[in-house]
Parts: sequence; C-alpha cells; structure tokens
Amino acid sequence: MRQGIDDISVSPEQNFPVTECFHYDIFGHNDGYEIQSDKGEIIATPDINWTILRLYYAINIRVLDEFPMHLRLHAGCATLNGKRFIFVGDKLAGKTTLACWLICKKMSVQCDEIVLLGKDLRVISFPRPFHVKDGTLTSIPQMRKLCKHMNRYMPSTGRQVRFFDPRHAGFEWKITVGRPDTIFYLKANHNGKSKLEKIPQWQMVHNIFRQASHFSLNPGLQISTLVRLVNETDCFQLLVGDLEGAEKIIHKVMGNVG
Amino acid sequence: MGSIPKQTDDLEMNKAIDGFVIYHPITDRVHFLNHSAAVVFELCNGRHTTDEIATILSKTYATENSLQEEVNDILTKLHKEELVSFI
Repeated sequence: MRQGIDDISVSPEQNFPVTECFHYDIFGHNDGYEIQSDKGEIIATPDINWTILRLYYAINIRVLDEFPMHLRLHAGCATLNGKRFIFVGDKLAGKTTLACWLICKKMSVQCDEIVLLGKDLRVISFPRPFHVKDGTLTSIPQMRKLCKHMNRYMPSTGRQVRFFDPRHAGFEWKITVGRPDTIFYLKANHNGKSKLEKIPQWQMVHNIFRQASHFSLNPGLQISTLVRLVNETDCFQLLVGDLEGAEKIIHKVMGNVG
Repeated sequence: MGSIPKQTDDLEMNKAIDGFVIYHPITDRVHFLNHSAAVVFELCNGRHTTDEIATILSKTYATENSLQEEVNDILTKLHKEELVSFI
C-alpha cells in the first residue's frame, strides 16, 4: 500500500500556494478495502491496485473541480528556451511518448495529459505522474531502464500504465503558468517520418475542440476563449513519426517563435 | 431558390482567421465553418437573395462559373442546423 501511495504521489517544483488539504483514510477488510474521504465519500475496492487507482482518480477529480471555469485540454505542455508550447492530441497520438522523449533530452516538460485553459489564455499544466504505457517503453530505451522496476496499473482505458515522476529519475519537473507561444496538434504517424503541416485555423479550432472537455453550462465564453487562443498563437499539425525528427521540428519551430 | 436567408438570432459567433466557429445556445451545438461557408453565412443578413449571394461569392473568388449550386448546398446545411432562416 505504501509503495502504491508513493507511485501516485507527485513532487514537481511549483510556487502555487496551498489553499486546501484533502484527507483520505484507507481501511482494509477481509474482502477488500474502503477509501473514506473527509467529504464523507466512501469507495469500496477489491484489491490494492484498484484502491490506489480509485484514490488517484478521486484526488485528481477533486483538484480539477477547483477549476470549474477552465477548459480541460487533452494535451501536454513543455517549455524550451523560455517559450511555452502545448501538444494536443487524441489517444495514442503520441503525447506521452513525445513527452518522455523530450524529458530524456533534458527539455522541461510539465505534463503529458491535461492542460487547463483559462479565459486569460494562460495554461496550467496539471501535475500528475506521466502515464507510461508499453508503447512508450518500446520507443525509448532509456525509459525502459527507468521504468523497469515500476509497478504497473490497469486503469479503465484497458492499457497498463506506470506512473512516472521525472524527478524520481533525476530530471527537472517544474509547473508554471503562462500563455503558450505555440500549439502543436499531434497526429500519429508511428511508422513514418515526423512532419510539420499547416492547416486552416478553423480546422485547428475544431481539432482542439474535440480534445477539450468540461464545458460549463454556458460554454460561449470558453468557446470564444479557445478561438482566441488559436487566433493568437502559432499553430501547427505535427505528424509524430520518428521521435528524433519530432524533436528537431519542435526545436526549429520554437527557435523561430518571436 | 429566390428567398432571403437571415442569420438566426442569439448565435454566439467567433471569427477564426479563415472561418467561423458558431455556438448555437438553443441546440447546444458548435459549428465550424470553413472560409466559403463563412462568407455565405456573413452574407445572410436579411438583405440578399440566394441568387445575389451566389453572384457575390463568384466575384469574391474571381470566377466566371456560377456558384449557385454550392451556395444552395451551404444554405441548406446552415438551415438544417438552424443557423439561418428564410424570410
């Protein structure tokens, strides 16, 4: 249980004030476990793996609920030479693999899955461990070594993941807030070469919209925020094939950003 | 088609650089219009007939070809999505 709690604990460097503490108790019974929250919520689970996963989801959902007006983008975020970019994409587009590759190349990567977009166009990287799947380990030998002894979990997606904290592996992990200078929309091209494409802005909005969630009951403001973000940010579609190629493309684009 | 299309009231319209993103609060749907659909939609101001819109579009794209069919197709879709009505 202690190892499981360590697996889901996060330790990025960040300067945000602590505004609230959540409290969870876990009780073991003959036929499983029970998670009890300070809000009176009770979750019953059959085994340790499920207990850790349910606890992980419960905490993340509670934290995300503290940002009701922020749009959740299915995206990663990184910075390079003081400039910020987000990489948005569908499942299996290559977000986590690209994120891990860039971490191994000593780039400052903040997250691989959820970015919160505010109406001021600033984004917050949601600090949770990187969900490393078998596909990422196949593509990045260094990650294979780093994740060799990690516990594996089976979330509802049906694919085993390992919870990777870059700091535990000796890399930098720092969460900051700011406006993105560039948006990459990722499309998988896993057996091909990485390639950069320009697509119409309205299509970029459409693509990112499909990766956005938790619109409020009155979503007009959030939709206009998303359109403004795309209008005011350099946007590209990045076909993710070879990771070295993707890295070079990102360096080139970010080097040209004003 | 000789009637006059008009944008539905209370739509929330956002201009992308090369198109439109429109939120319809009643149907709770979001619509993404490419450049030509956006031009047609902007011309649905209650002052142009569908024939006039086709003529304006031909001039916009500097073509001698009639774009009536394309305009009718766009207007049919806009009407189906309740983004325009005909007066």
